[in-house]
Amino acid sequence: MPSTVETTEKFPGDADRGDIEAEKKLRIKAGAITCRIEGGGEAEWTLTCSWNVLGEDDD
Amino acid sequence: MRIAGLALSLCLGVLAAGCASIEGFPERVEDPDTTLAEIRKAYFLPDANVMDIYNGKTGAAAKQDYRNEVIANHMRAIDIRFGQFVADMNAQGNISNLSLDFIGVTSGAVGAAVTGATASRILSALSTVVAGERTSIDKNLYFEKTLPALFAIMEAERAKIRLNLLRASALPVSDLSLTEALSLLEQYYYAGTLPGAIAKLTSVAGDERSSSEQALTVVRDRKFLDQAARERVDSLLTLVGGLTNAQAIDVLANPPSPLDGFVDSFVKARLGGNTVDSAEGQRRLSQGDNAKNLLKSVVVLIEERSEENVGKWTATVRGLGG
Repeated sequence: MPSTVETTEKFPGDADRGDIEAEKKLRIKAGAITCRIEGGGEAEWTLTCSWNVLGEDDD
Repeated sequence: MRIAGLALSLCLGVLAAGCASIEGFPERVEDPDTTLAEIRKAYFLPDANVMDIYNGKTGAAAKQDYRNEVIANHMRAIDIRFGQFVADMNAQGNISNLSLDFIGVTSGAVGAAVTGATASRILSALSTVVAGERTSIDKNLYFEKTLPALFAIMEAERAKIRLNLLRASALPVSDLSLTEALSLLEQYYYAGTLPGAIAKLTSVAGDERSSSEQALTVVRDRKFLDQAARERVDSLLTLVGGLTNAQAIDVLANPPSPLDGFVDSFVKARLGGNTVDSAEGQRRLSQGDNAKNLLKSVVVLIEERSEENVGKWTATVRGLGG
């Protein structure tokens, strides 16, 4: 199983979903393997992304 | 009594099934016990003291020849024993254990039922049978599923040490004495044991956990979500795409502004726990477009997205031709 790093970014719950979506797109453009959005409304938004650990494949 | 009798019949039926063990191994051409006896007589205590024989040899070449002879024969003996171990585990592990566990639980329960002879005690005893059988099946299924994995680990470790031993055979005795060779042979034996495989599995699982479960969390404020700030970062991201990997290494090694704690930890985690300036970090960064990919992720995660800060990064990247 390849190693990954997971980042979790928490945003204010009253932020627009569109802003969180735009942040997600930016991370995908920057090379994130996957990103998912959770929460919103009463709860804070959570943007969780997975990134590969570099230099593992050639070991 | 009739119910108890039924349980006893069932129990005997399973016992009969257990006796018909499936070995899955063809009969050997040679008799392993005879071969082992021969090897033991020539290369193992108490019949043969290989250290005395080795020390009695004159000249490095003669010592090396004898050392290699000992290695080859000890390996052969360990291999034979390992083969017998695998065959025994296969034959016993799959069927017999299940039957024996089941018989043990069943006979106790039936005994309790027969002496009391009341319906409630018989039913209670039978429920023990069913519960016990379930536990027995679970335990043995677990064993059955785990055993092949443990044997795969044993084979992999044995192959690794076997290769080391074969390579070591080419070394002069000044680099590998017989004592050291015997120590390697001990490792070879241990690699083919259940405790050895479990120890390896535990160590691999520990490494896997430490390297794959790296989670980083940060709390952002509304300012971070400012659209103009995001557009600045997006433009910077496009510029980074125009850098060569070597240029990206330069930027990562000399960032235009200090990385915040979250991004600093993120960089280290993506480099497998290594810093940018370490030898291992540099090795990882220099492969393919790794540095460029890392730099892209850094610029989108930096907390400070002010015009001034993103401007510094943009100027640096532009200066390099990005």
